[in-house]
Amino acid sequence: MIDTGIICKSQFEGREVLGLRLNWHKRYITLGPVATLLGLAFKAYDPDHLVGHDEDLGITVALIPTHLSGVEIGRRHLPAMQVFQNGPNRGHDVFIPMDYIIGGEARLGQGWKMLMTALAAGRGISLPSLSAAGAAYAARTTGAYARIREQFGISISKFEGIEEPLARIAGIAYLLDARAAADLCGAQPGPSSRGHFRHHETARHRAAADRDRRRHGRPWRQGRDRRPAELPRRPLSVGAGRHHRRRRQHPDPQSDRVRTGRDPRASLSARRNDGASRRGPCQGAGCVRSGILETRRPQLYNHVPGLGPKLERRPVRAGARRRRCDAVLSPALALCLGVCALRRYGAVDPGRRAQAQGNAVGPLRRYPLRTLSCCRPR
Amino acid sequence: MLSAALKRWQDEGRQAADFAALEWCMASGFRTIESRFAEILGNLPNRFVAVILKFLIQPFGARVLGPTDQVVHQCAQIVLSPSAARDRLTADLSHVDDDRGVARLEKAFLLVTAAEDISKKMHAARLHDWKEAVQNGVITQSEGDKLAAAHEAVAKVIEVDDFAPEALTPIYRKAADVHQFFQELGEQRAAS
Repeated sequence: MIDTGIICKSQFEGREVLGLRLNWHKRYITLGPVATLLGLAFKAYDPDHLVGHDEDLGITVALIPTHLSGVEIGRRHLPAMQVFQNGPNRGHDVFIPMDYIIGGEARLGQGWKMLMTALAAGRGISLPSLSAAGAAYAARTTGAYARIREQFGISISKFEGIEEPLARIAGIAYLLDARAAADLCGAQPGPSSRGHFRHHETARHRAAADRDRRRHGRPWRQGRDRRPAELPRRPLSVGAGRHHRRRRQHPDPQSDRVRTGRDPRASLSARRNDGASRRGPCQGAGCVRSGILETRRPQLYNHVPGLGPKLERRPVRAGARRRRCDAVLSPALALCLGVCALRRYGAVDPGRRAQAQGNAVGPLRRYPLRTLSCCRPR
Repeated sequence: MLSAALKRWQDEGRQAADFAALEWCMASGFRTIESRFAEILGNLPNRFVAVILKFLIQPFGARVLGPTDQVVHQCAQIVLSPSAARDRLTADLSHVDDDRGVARLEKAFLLVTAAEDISKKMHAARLHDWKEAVQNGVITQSEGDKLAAAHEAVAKVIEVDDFAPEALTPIYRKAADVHQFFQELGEQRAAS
């Protein structure tokens, strides 16, 4: 947060008072361009120790009349191309007395709590009303358009395929307006149901955002030139069940390789793909049966234990987890499985496969053996 | 949400015309509830409890199928003709009376729905041109004018923006220019 408030003394309405000198720049402030009173969250600092010993007082919320000198409001955003009062505002050396802090001087630094309780209520009003209006607008215009358009000499609204979505639009409009009205006329549904409702309201937005995220999360195209140089080539996978947990508990202090011995399920992540350590203890046909479950490119949060998504533990082959006697399978069967793996992943061991695919994450590909014999990586 | 819909219906004076919308809301809501229950019971980690609950709550599975075709039809009819129900459903929307998309649409909608009987008459007489229908005496001149106005309004609504190719593609060349270009290119190559 770059918005700061420095505690100092200054002239305010003709006398010297203790207050805060604020500098801020906020974006996407709903109703900001027409506001007469801004609710502003900023970080308060007390370098001169005017109110106590602490210099960093934390997030504080204050109400700021927009007529004060230094406050700039009025410019607008055009969010999602909607003409909606939403815009940036900034303040340069705006002085406010301590009384303008919500709760007065006693509530310096307690803004986070206020934000968390108040923002949710604000969203509970603006999003439902926006959705209700949007649904009503959709019902009015879609109904009219379906009525006036004709195909094959009859109005398209008589087609059942059009009728069904029309009914859905009308029903949703009825429902959303009912809910928004219930909210505004004072029915107190309780926070959980309000949250639930908001979830329904914004479900479509979330679906779109999910799609977007999926697009961003898509792995690079195969081939090395596509990969930014700063990311290490490190495949990451999750071992199967029990073994995975054991690996977590006893990590090798020397590297992130795991001493799994001949454990057939020592997975790809246990082995850095940097050449030297690829000669790991579980090199060989036995390794093929290790469950590569998923590879993905390293993320920033990998360095922080406990963060990041839980990877899906999906066995490569059905029943891989159940096979406890993998280690003692006969060499002939191991060879057979090796050939299977070659066909399936394009390499006898998963590390090579990942290397061959540029560590790319993606669908496990099946190539015919003939193709692989031509292009198998050395 | 379903309770809110019921409350709305009650508050608005139990309008019979809105009943289809309410019915649609309730039917689709019940379907959602049923399928959520089925999903929860199907995924409950404690399978023993899940089986018991399944037996108690949904012994035959999720059986609500959502709004029937009849309800869907009636609900769609609410927004398909100018009525008090439609106005209630889309209350408080701003209406700007200019010559832009939504205003044109609204105008055409009113004209088309007003001229519906007339077009039905023509349909029954198997005529497509209103002038011909006026000549044959199927409809009167004033009815013909109404129909013509409706057709004109619809044409205005379904009209969409179009652009000259040059406006969208800076490198656009007309077909004749392309022909000339290649001819010149061929001549140049032949010369060199």
